[in-house]
This record gives sequence, C-alpha cells and structure tokens, in this order.
Amino acid sequence: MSQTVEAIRRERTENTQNIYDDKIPARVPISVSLAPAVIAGYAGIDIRAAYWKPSLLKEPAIKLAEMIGSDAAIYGGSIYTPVSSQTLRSINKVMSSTGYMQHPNTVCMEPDEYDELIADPYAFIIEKCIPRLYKSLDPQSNPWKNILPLLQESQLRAAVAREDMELRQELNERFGYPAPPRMNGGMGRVAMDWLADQLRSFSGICIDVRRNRAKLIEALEAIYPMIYKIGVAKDLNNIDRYSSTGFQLHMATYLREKDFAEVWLPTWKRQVEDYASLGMRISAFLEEDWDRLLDYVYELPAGSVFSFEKTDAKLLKEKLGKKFILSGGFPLQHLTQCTKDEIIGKTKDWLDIMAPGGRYIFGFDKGAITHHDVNVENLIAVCDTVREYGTYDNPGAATGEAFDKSIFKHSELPQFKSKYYKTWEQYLAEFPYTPDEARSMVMQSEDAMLATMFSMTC
Amino acid sequence: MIDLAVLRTAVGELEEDTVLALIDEVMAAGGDEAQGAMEACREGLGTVGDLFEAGEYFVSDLIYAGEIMNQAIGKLKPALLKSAGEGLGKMILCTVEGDLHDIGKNIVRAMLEAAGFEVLDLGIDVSPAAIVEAAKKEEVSIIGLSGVLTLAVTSMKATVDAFKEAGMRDNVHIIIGGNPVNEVVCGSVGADAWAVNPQLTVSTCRAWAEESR
Repeated sequence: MSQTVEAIRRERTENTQNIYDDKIPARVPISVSLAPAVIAGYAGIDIRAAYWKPSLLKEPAIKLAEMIGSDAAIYGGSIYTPVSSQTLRSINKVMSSTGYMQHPNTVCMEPDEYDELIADPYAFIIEKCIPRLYKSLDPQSNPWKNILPLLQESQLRAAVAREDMELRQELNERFGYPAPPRMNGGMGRVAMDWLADQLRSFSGICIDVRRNRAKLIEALEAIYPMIYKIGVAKDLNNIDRYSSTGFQLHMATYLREKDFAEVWLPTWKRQVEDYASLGMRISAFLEEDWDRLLDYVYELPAGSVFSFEKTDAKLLKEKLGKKFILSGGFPLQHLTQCTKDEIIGKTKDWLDIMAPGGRYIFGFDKGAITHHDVNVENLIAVCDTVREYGTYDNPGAATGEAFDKSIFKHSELPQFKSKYYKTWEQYLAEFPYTPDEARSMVMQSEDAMLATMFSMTC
Repeated sequence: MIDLAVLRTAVGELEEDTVLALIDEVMAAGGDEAQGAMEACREGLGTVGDLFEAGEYFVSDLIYAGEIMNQAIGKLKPALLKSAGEGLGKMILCTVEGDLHDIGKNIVRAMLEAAGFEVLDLGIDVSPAAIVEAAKKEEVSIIGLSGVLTLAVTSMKATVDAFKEAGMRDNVHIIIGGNPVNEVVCGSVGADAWAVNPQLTVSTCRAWAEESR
C-alpha cells in the first residue's frame, strides 16, 4: 500500500474512531456501500453470475470507488446468495424471477408448537425449522441426500467467500478503506423478531401477540439464553468499543405500544443491558418510523449506535443525539428524484440537522437494491458535499454522554442447555480419551454449530 | 336477533371472541341476519382503517383485523351465498415482478374482500404480461399493484406500460401501494392513484367500481 493510501486509511480510521471515542471528528464520516446487484446492474453484468463469481464485479467496483468518496468499502457484499439457498433448497431465502435474493414471509413453526420450542429451542431449530425451511435437509428422505447438499453448500460457500474476500482486500488496499474492526461482536437478534421473521412469520406473530400472548412471552424467556449466547462478544476478555453486536429492529413499529412495551421490548432491553454490563456496545437499525417510541430508546445504554429509516431526523437528533451515535437516515429516493443541485441542497440541509455536536455517521435510510435506485452522478455529489460541508472546527473535543458500564447489572442468566449442545463434561463422557488441550477447540465447534444452525433460521 | 351495533364495535375494537360468538349466534338462528352482520363487520373494519390512519392502530392490528374478518366471512358464507347481494365486482391484486413480499398485499386483500370485491390475487413476483393477460381474460378494470422493495417501482412502471402497449390503458384504473410509493413515484410510474394504507386503497377502488356501474 502506498504512503498516500495509508494516510487516507489512517485519516478515515481516526475520523470514525473519534465518533466511537465520544470526540468530535474532523468531518462527518460517510458510510455508503453498494450491494453486488447495484454494481452488477451499473456495469451491465448479470447479477446471477456475480452472486457466484464476485470477481466479475472487480472492474466496476474499482471504477465506482474512484468516483464515490465513501469512507466504507464501496463493495458491500450480500447477505443472501443463491449459492447456499439453492443448494439446500431453501424456502426462506429465494431469488425472484429478476434475480434478486429476498426473504419471503415464511412459516416453520405452527401456533400449537410453542411448548416444543420452549422445552428446547435449539432442538426445535434442528428438528423442526431446518427441515421445513431447507428441503434438501428433510430427514424423511435418504440421509445421503441430506449430507451431500450440506457438504456441497459448505464447499461452494467457501469458494465464493474466498473471491468475495479477495475483492474486498484489493479495494481496501487500493483505496485506503479502514480495516474492518476486529469482529468480536456477536450476531444480534431480538428474540421476538427472530420468532417473527422465520418461525411464526410476520403475520403469524401479529396474531399470536393477541391470541397466544402468555405463551409468546414464555417462549421469549425460554429462547433468551440462546439469543444471548449467539450475540455476546466472542472474546469476553478483550471487549473493545470499536466493534459492536448489531441488531435489525424489525417488528417494533408495527406493534401497538402496549405490545411493544410488554412483549417485544423486555427481552431485548435485558439483552442490551446484560451486554452493556460487560462493556459491549450495540448497534441497531431502527426500521420504519420510531417517532412514538423514542422515549423507550432513550433508556438504552449511552453510546449505542442507531441507524434509522423514517424516524423524523430533527426529533431524533434532539432527543437522542447527545446520548447515542446516530447514522443513516438520508432518503435514498433523493438519488433518483432530485437534480444534482437539488440533492446538494438537501444534503446540506440534512447536515445542518444531523452534524452539530458530532456523533453522526452519514448514510442512507435504506440500501439500494438495484442500479435503478442509484443515480451515480447524484451519489458522487452527495458524498462530495458531505466531505466539504460536513466539517468541524474543533476535532478531538469531547462530546456527548459517556458510556459507563458500572451502572448496568447483569441479569441472572440460566445456563444454555440443549440435547444437541454438549458441555465439555458431556463430551468427555462420550469420548473419554480426549485431552484437555482439545477443550477450547471442541467448545468453539459446539458454539460454531449452534451459530450456523441458528443463522439458517435468520 | 343480535345487536349489530355491538358487533360493529367488537370488530372495531378487535374483540375476536365477541365477534365470533355473535356470528355463531346469527348462523345458529338460520342465517337470516347474515347480510346485516356482514355490513356491521364492514363498518367495524372501516373503524379499524380510520384508527390506523389516525395512528392509533398499527400494521399488526390490521393483520389481526383481517384474521377476524376471514373467520367471520368463512362462517357467514353459506348464508351470504343464499342471499347474494350485488358486490363491487372483480379486481386484480398482486405483488409486482421481482418482489416476493406479500404481507401488505394480503392485508389489503382482506380489506377489499370485506368491502365486497371479488379479488383475483395473482400472487407475488408477477410479470407485467401475466397481469395484462389476466385483466384481459377476466375482463377486470381495477388493478392493484403492490411492492415493498424499491425495485418494485420499476416493475410497476413496466406494468403500466404493458397496459399501454396492449391498448388497454384507458380501460383500466391502476392503483399502486407499498413502502416505496409516494406522489412522485405515482407520477413517474403513470398510475392513477397510490396508497400506503389499506383504507385509502379500499375507498379509491370502491369509487372506481361505483363509477363504472
């Protein structure tokens, strides 16, 4: 990496770290990335091919990175890919006829199965959810027909991930994007959102919250030890404030306040406060419009990072701007609905609201899905305007409310147990000649299997 | 005789047990009151829509209201068929090409059916050609296009264009709905109306249906 690129990387890293260290940055950091489908569409490349060979996107990604002054790598990668979903015949991650991967409204748990879920959530995932969501993994069929797709999926996924990583590395080295933070944060899921998104479905949970309220609440309690384990920092001895456990807050705004406060919020608040007592930071995307719920958000630990969509920016900044780090929110639709001059004006107006006092990272309210969502010339103008207009004259000055982990007390957490999860003692009882040196390796693999199975229901 | 005002209020307040008990009572008495009960349910659903618009009810309430209405209609159906009145006619509803989301569409469908439409639900990820073909075959003049993702806007426009190319644009009313839709999008797509709440979709489609009678 050349010295110039290294200097750019240092400036970007320091700028963003200032935000996390409760200091005013030199300028508003810009977090804009583009999904593979956007880059592919921009270059006229078939997205179906790019999902399998991310290296096809190298040239257009380099071209876009040269033009767009984002502080985050312009190539954003994708969450869902056909590589995994079609090999396992997934019904919860599906490609549309036009080539875009999506999560349709699926059900893999019936309303009369709450007791089974409550008894052993991990076993329920393995025995009920996975076979229902992944047709290749149906135990009723020939077992070899289960094993082979699993092996194939793992091999294909690794091959695609290698290309994906190589592309990211090349872009990072060429353009000085900050090195990604040490990935110590876990995988954050709100208990009720997880139950809604894949198990009971969006519409199913809306009915359960009325009809099966008590069972639903009991289930949220029962899955807490698993949800906690999945989201907690991987290395508890080396927790830092630059990495976070991230959440996509999905169901909250679709519920009436009574259901939000009594059913959705309690387990998540407990989770966030338990993590805060360990010194962990959380980040969360506030989906839809949170105007009416901001007082609840205000109660969460200082320094949490909230990106937002339709919440009123002025109200958000006024109520939460000192205590938390805010990001995102700028309407993506402006990119295609405004002229260049108009969007420059709108960007300045936006910064007038969000930038004062620091604690803001620029980004859009939602990610672009196709190249039709992005007028590249306007995107360049937006990023340039943020760079030029979003500067501070007092970088390094302290700002906002500091996080204090000592005010949080960890709740009593029942040990995570399942017939499919072996403790070291159980493992030793089954394989008595295993040396103690294998202990951390074995337990890491138990945790990795849990995380894999869980993520298949996400 | 049931108290229709109680039924109306129970639907509006999403009191599932009360609604279903009253409907059972109507059917146990031979179903003569089924039309009146259905009308009371529609009015109650109107209250749900009003409360949603006023920000007192939320999407989960609409879904629950739809579930209550589905059950009520299911129970009343045998009696309603006997005394079939004039409905609002057929209309098409679907999620447009490229988009697999159907939660909003299903909420709207429940509300439209409750209002008296026979909804031809073409499903999700439906191509412009398939929508035009269905409109032609079924002689439908009201088209509801739904979408959640931003890519739906492109497909909505392609659908409107497909009606133009088929020479049918002047024969159909097209309403678009869903997350990425607003006044500007409606203009660029070339639709006749747009809505982000089901109540507005129902009232717009009802006005079109009544106008064409």
